[in-house]
Amino acid sequence: MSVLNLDRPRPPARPALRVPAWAARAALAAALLAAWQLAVASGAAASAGVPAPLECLRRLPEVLGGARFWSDAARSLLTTAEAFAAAALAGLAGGAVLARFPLVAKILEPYLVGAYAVPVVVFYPTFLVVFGLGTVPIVLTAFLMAVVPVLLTTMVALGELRPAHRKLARSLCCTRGQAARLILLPSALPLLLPGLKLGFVYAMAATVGAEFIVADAGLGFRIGELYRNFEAVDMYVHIIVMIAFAVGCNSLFNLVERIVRRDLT
Amino acid sequence: MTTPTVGTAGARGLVVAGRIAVPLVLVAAWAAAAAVTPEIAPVAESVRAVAAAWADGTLRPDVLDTLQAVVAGFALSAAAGIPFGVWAARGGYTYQVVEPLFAGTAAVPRIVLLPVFLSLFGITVDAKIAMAVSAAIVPIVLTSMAGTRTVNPTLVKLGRSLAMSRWALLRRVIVPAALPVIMSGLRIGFSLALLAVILSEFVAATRGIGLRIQAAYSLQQLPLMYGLVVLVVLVGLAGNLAIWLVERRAAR
Repeated sequence: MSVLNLDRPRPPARPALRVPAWAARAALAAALLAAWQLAVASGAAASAGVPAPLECLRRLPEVLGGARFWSDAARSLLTTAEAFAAAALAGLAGGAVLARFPLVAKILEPYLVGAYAVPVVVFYPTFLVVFGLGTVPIVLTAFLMAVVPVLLTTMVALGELRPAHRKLARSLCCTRGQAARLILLPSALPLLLPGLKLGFVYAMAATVGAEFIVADAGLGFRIGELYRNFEAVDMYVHIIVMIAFAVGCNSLFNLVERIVRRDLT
Repeated sequence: MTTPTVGTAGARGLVVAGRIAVPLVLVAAWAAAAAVTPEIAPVAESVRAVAAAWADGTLRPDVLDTLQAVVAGFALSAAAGIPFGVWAARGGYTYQVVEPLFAGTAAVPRIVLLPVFLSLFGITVDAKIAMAVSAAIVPIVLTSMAGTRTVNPTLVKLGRSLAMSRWALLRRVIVPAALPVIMSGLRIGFSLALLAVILSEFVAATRGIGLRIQAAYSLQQLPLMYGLVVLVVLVGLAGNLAIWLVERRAAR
């Protein structure tokens, strides 16, 4: 990727003064928290009932020490994991099949791309009607949401790889199994990862969203419950933990991506 | 192995026929499922229920409120996100600082912000717009940055050698070259804005299609509920189609 710099070349004295990018980000986050604290302390945010970040920080150990938080987190994580695993399997298999049959892929392509435009969570009430309250409707919603990016990425990635790699496999006299295992999979994996990552993010968003609407446990349900009971401090603590967890998941995926890409390039 | 015949006239006809068949198959599957279980409302009844609610004027304010929130949230995200993304991608350092912030928050389930917006704005259309912006701005900024960074540096050099001003360079070279990637971000942004608005309406709203679906679910008005779900799907597809048409015109 090219690094585009619109500015005319500058004397190289300036970069030496710059702090590392992560430090600048940390400073930005700290400034935002400080502004939040000040807004609450000055009374500007009093009418909205927003607690101060320091108050949330003091409450954090108590929330994290409680059994309820962990059972909610476990429920959300398990639901997300189930939906993601099913979506990954179905998406990879479906994408591989579609890459194998270009005509079918061409017919379905506009609908698969269009599926991105459908707010899948809107189906949650229909699943509730059919399957009743429980984890099944949530898993189903999250699965539908997550399967689209996995399937599309797989289809596109394998479709692009096939011609060149089939020739390579043939010239090396590979069996079909060898070709898939030794050539196709290793070269496709880095291309499949963005789809899997997006699938996980979507599965988590749909899970927490569905829990928020109607559920009996889970982090989304808990945040909604705390909101309805006006327990602002606990609610903000849960929101902050949820955000931190999601950002952590994202970093983990980036790490995996870097490792996979390093030994391939 | 036979080579795929995509591209020949016969195959093209098959693709067109197949594409026409897909929605018909989906509707047929819906009708078949409705015939098997009473928990799925019949197709015709669902369409009639939505048409009736539209005709008696009770559905119109809900549809308008939802569309207003989605369009306003999407427009605000595009108006702020594209210039910010292009700006942030110009300098290498700014990009290094900003990009992980947006890439990291992209993973946060947006619904957890709803209570925050509800406490700031109350149960108003503003809270829904804020939700839409929080969802739509992230892919728009990310793709604007990615698109700007993949612009061929030779084009920029060419522009400079023609003594273009920085503004002209942006408007005539960089943004057009980055546009295909930016447009894909706009499409994702629109979808996420609609998702965020519908989700907020399920939880807390005074008006909106999501609220009507929620009400129909509580009252077990199944035909209306299924019909409205399909209406939301159609709204999503229509929005995407509109952006795609703009994209195609811009590409010319």
